[in-house]
Amino acid sequence: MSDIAAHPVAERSTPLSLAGLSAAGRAVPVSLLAALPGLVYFAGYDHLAYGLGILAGVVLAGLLIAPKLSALGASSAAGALRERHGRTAAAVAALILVLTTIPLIGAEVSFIARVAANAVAVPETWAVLGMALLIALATVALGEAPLRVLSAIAYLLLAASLIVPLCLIAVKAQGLVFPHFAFGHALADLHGIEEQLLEAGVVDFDTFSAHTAPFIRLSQLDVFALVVTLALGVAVLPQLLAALATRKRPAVTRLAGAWTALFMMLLLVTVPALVAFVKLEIYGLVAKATPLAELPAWLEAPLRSGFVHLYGTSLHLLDQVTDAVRAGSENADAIAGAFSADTQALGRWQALDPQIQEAMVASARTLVAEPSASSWTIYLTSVLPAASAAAGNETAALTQAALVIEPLGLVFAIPALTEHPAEISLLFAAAAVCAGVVMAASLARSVSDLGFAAPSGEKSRSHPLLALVVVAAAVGVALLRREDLVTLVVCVFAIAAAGLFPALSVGLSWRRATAAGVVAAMIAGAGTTGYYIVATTFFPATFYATWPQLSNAGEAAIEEFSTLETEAREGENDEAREIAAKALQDLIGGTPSREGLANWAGVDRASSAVFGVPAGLLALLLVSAVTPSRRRRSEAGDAQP
Amino acid sequence: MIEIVLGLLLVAGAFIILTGAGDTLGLSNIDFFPLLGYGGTGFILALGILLIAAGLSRRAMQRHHERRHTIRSARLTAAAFLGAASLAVGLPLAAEPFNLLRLEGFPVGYYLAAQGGLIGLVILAFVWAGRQNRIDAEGAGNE
Repeated sequence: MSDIAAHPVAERSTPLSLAGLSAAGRAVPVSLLAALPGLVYFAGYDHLAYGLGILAGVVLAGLLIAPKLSALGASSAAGALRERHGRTAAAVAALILVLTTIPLIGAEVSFIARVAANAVAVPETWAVLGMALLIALATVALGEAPLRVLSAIAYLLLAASLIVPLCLIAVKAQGLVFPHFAFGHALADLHGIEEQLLEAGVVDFDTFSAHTAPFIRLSQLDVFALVVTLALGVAVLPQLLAALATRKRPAVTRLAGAWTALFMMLLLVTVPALVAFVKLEIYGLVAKATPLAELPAWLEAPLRSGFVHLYGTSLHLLDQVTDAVRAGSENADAIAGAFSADTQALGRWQALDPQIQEAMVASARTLVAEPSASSWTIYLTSVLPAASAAAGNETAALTQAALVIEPLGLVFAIPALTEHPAEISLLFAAAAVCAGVVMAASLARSVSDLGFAAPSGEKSRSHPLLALVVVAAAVGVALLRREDLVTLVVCVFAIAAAGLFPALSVGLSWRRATAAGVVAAMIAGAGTTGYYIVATTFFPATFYATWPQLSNAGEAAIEEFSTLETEAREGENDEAREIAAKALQDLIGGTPSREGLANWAGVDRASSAVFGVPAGLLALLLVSAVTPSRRRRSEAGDAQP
Repeated sequence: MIEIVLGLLLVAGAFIILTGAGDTLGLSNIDFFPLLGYGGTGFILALGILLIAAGLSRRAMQRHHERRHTIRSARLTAAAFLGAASLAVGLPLAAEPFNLLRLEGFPVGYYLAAQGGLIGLVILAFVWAGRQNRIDAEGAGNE
């Protein structure tokens, strides 16, 4: 302690601002960061909760958790728990860290592979393998110092890829302004367009919500649960703690944490401003009833990314169909067969109306016969007319409901809205790949240095082979899971928060906490949240049957459930029973536009840390109260908060 | 001591408002719940708990001088944690009435969630770090 006091900010091998910049570059997975504009575009006010949750998590990591790790001389959660509570606690923490790190790296690989595949036009599977190789190399070959530099570069590239297009779009819309403050006028204009669309009755309430109105897509409870999950999940992310706790004096760690929060804040305040200008542009097209045949060229890039769809179609899907036709598939069934290895493409293909499938096959044949033909022109003139006709859109004009932008899709539209689309696209691709590789390599390195195997008092050994195994497993996740990466990442945050936050926040500072209590907290927390996520995802019917009294299902939904259950069991024929069973499955498990019955109090599975964290804290308090402490270091524990 | 008494009164008041126990105390004509709602009542409850905690920690510091550093650190951590929770959770949940006001085109509630809360969290982080470092330095000086 006296050491800290004598040199409260003495440990400055690098300026703290640079340390914060470097930590900010690997604070949050880029697959989540890049989705923020799309999330705010979709739900407006309600999804501002993401930014608040992430920044609160960075603050807690830098000011609450990382200083505790520094005080114990550890750079990972498992190392700190080993120092304070022994090897069993460290082993359980290590297991949770490995299980949460694999999907996080998988999401990073999946996203940056998609970005790279778009940028250099290579098949996505090859891009996945290429990115995995890059991450493995960075994990094994780069030392901590080069990784820190690379991380700072990644932050600067990420900041530039958001702030530069924001400035360009804002100048185009409003002249020379400071966009972070001037976007209020864009919000006012957007509000006017939204009212115009509402008055014209051309909005689809399943996908439309007034941008600045609160609690339309999410309830107050959802917002609360989401912020808590993100904050506590980010607070225990291993790569962030490792980046901050490399300094051995808590005082210096705290200041580095505050600088990290400042740099993250600069990124996060840019997102709502950027979205306001982009949404104004897109809704302007809808308000003008732009004919589909005359869509602006800037929509080409997002439609080619595969994250943006018009009536369920996209240029990405047309490219995939063209490849299948080139390989010999001649009709819709043959193309479905060709997509059998790609469940995402197969799902999208099978969801299309036969009329649209036919138009896409015909367009693909034209593109195969005339390789010089523009796929964008053919898409506009052949596919979209068929798609709008199948949807009953007689005017063949762009509608708000027709254009579906996935969370990760908006970042592909942003460069196209500037006057320098090629340069901004390249900047974004470089930023995403650099940040993704740094993030994934940092995660893998944090696993390699778990430190639970080394005896107390000795420097923990690094296990690069374990890191490579984790990267290999993550590649498997990336190849299997290519959509809804945001839900995947937030679910992982929920498990990490529930498993580790009680142990790291209370278990390391409460002097009466015992090893058994900490182990119980991790198992109870991760177990509760893990059970909720797995059961509501894969066994919703069993979950609802077990906990019907805890569901937020209303009377009408319960009645519908009883009717469908009876119909599924006693329907007139097999077909009726099958239809009822499918409807029952949707009712219990939920659909994108309707919450399922399988829940506790209506909380989304991705926000389920709100159950796991209290369970973990309760287990820690109760088990610590009834078990004797084996490693009493009360004075040392008192010395640091 | 005065903090603890005031805190207990506020907690009791919050419970009376929540449960409608005013009837049994002959206060049925004064029903504050429609005026305050869950948010306002929760605020009174939280203020009461904070006052009690502040009073207890002050007493603990007077009685156990050797644990002064630990208690001050714990108090700062609790206060900072509450501050972070208010900015990250409380602010977005309380936005609706603020949205009635517009400033430079911004609905104020939206602005607070989009930028105000984030800027507040960063200020909190620097204040928290500075204060904790000062507590550590003073603790080490006393030792």
